[in-house]
Amino acid sequence: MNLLSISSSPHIRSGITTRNIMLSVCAALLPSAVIGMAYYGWWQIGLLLVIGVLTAVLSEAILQKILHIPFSYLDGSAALTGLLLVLTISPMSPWWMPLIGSFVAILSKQVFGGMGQNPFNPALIGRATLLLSFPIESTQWIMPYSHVTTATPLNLYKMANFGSEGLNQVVASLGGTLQLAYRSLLLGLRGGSIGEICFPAMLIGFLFLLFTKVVSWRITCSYLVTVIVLSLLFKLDVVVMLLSGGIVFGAFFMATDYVTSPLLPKNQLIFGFGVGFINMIIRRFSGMPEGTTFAILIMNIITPLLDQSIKKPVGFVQEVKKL
Amino acid sequence: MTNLKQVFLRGVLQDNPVLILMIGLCSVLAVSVTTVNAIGMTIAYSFVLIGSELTISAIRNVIPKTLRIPIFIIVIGSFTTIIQLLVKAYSPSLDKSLGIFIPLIVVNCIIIGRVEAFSSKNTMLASLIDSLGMSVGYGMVIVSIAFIRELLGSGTVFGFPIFPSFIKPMLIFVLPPGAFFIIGIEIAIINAINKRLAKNKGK
Repeated sequence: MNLLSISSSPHIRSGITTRNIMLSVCAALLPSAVIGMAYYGWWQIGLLLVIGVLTAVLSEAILQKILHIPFSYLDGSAALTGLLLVLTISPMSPWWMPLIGSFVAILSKQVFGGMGQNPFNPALIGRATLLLSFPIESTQWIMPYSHVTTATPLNLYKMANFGSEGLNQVVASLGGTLQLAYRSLLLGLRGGSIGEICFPAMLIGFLFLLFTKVVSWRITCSYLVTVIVLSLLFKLDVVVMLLSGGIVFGAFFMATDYVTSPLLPKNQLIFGFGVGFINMIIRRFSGMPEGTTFAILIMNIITPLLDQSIKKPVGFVQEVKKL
Repeated sequence: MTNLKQVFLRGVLQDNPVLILMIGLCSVLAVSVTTVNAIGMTIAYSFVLIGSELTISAIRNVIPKTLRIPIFIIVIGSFTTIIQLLVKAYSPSLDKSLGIFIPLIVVNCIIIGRVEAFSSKNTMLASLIDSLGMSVGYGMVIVSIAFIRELLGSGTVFGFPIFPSFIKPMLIFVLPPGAFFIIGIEIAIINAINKRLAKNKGK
């Protein structure tokens, strides 16, 4: 089957280039990054961001040189990977964590042949590696502004086995009343990774991506709806489940990655459902409090299988035979 | 003579049981957490492989074709039992850390594969060389994987810490994914070597 039919010129030139897409995703992440810096200290988080992005771009250049892949380290994809990685690690991370994480992230992309060939979301591979390699450094959480060491709401909730006792502890740690706790969760005044805490900032970025048609709503929506439905089924607090941990960040920016998510609308819905389902199973039944990273990585493996249902070339138009 | 040399080298390079044939991966991935374990596993494994290949090769003319698999298993099983009892008697700590993987040598694909494919058709001398080559090939891979995993994952060499305390070892290398990373890299390296060898031969 001819997957790509090429006709003779003239062609329509669209403004969509890799660089444009990558830069608009970077722009969409900017509010979250700024909020992260404001919450946890400009210099500290700024340094992590600079290290993460620079390492990503540099290792992309070096690896492309070594592996004889055409140079594309300035197209913004490496910078985006570095940015995404730093936004998903703990604000207490020492400076060498984004260094190692970014390098592993880029390596995981380049060993499969570079941009477009990687089966896994590079930033999440970097984060998973850091989480498994340095479990203590990766899970030190602090409150915004006060920098007091804290447990994440999800961890408190899980420790008490998701009962009403756990919810009370979450509420107590976030202001005292349920209303205040929900407000803190919404604004991100809780322990968590740098970029995943502030919902409005992420929403602004995501709406920007949605309106510029960089991402589609399907994966995000089916992911979030699955999480809400399963929270209700497992009798968990829906707001705590949605707004704590990395689900929103994952649903907005990670699961929607082009390379590692399916192409067809129907498959995107299945993909989102799968991520939400695995995520909630990990949260509810496994030993870890949070499972967004692993849920998305597991569904990334299934993406090629889902895409096998494509029977004809995307955008293919049957030629009309003239008599 | 060159033939025997080739038989030996084939086990190490072109037909490396782990990296090229990709059989017997289970013990390689599971045991290669520390170098000491890997060396112990190599010794146990080599004993069974050499013993079985020699025995099968010696009795190859009297084994009926239809009954050969059960006979192979009995021979391999006997040698595995011998080594298991020896390890239990003389090195209880190694027995503890290798655990189930010593009895599992019985079902190791490399051994039954070599016995079926090679020693049931070749002389005892050739079988000896083949089993030595295969043992070296196996040991090389598992010990090098274990060395790298131990160094990066727990920061030690043969159990002695070598890094200053501010360098934190990457735990992922002692976890299962680390084994897959390293074996992937080694497969890439041996493929590159073999490609170069084949190219030189072509010239």
